[in-house]
Amino acid sequence: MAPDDFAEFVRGRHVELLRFAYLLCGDRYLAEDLVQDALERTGMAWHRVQRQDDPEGYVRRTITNRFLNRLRALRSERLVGDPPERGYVDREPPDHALWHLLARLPRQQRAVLVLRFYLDYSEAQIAQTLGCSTGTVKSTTSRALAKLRQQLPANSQLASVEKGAS
Amino acid sequence: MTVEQQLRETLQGKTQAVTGWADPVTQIERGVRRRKRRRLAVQAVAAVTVLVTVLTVGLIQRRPAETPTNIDATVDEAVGVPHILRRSPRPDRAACPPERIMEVEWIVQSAPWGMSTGFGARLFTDQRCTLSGRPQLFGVDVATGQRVEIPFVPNVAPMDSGRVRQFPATIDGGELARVEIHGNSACPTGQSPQSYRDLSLLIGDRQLDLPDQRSLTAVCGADVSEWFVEPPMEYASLDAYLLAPKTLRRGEDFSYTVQIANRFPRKFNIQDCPVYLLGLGAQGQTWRRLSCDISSIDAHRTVRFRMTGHVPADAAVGPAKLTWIGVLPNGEVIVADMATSGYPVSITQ
Repeated sequence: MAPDDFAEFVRGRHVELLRFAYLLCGDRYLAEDLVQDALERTGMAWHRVQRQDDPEGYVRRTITNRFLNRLRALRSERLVGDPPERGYVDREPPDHALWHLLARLPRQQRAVLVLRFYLDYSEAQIAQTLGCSTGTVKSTTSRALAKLRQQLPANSQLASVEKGAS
Repeated sequence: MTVEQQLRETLQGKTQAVTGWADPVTQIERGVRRRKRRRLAVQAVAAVTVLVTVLTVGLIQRRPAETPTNIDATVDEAVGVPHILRRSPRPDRAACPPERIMEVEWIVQSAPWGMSTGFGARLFTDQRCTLSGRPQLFGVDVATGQRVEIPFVPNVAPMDSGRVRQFPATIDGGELARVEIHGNSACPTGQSPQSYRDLSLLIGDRQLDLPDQRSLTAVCGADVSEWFVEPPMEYASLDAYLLAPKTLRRGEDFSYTVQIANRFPRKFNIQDCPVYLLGLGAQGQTWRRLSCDISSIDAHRTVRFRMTGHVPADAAVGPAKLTWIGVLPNGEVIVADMATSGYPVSITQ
């Protein structure tokens, strides 16, 4: 089976990878699926991956790419039949203004912000992870932050008023 | 505090609630072993295919490393239905609370290779959970008017081997847990068949009606499967689009193009040309293998396969969707025009 160091890698890093995937997709069960899939693929290619400088970066790139591609996967599984009469629980994360706003960003913008502000990736590293130019990373980051700034001040003020009232 | 600072704080704070798996190494190693077994099986089939080709033709063409943009693909018959890579089975979770099951639906799921039918249940929950075992089937005995349990009879009808199933059904909220029900019409000697209406399933302590007041007529019991899921396919990181005439005539050939795009900055290694299925609506045709001259698609490049299709003489006249699905040697799939579930065409006489 896999060499001992792959087992150590999985044991030691899977939690951090789960956290990263959770921030990307905002859903802990989807995060588990993404990490399981990425680690299995890494295990298949471990002899090659472990020779690179950054095996964890390889796994993160795989998680990110599978996440960005997932929308296409969901669209293809089409049900033809009576839709359910009741909706199911929305997977919105718990109350937190910025977290809510992050969840509403387009996937690419969300991914860029997570890579930048959670992993402290440079623009070049983000560009390599997402397969785009640094120019695209700059403009995506800028648009995402502008959107958050536009929507945050109202929420921040509301939070202040509530605290003051209590 | 700036938005950047808030972002850092929020992202760091959100991850504190994320906990690890109980036994991550076993979980991942199991999945890796499964993928390796599949890969060996695919390679064995490919090796047999090559051997047959060598014996028949006496020549193997080497595939060049570089990828041309336009390819006139020649088509051979497929060796068989390809193996499609699907999501790995999930570890079991706590049992799904019956009160969270919304209702049982009749599912008709179309795919280019056929239809999947059966019953499915969805959950109203944000907790992943597991539905396992076999639900009990109840119905109103038409003769007596009493609601009774319908006797379970195993192995009445073999499950459709073309479908992939994972038992038990570990599902997220909104996902389908599936069950199949077949009435047993082969009654033992001396036993009279019964008819039942208003069927329902007992899940835990909850009776859930089957939709549309379903019934079983003249049966001696029924086979109810255990709960299962049909895992989603694994998709290759490629985009695919069809270009075809908008109007197709029954019984005639037509030319079309499949564009496959690699949007990423790395070469995508496809190893060998895909097996594919061209379909019209839910009417799948035959799996075929593309004989092309590529083994990879370069970064940010698009490959166009120019191909020929055929409209069955008995195809339904009117609007239809042309579908194309390719399966790579590693089992990953490429589905053309995923966003629109196919390419719209009109079929004429």
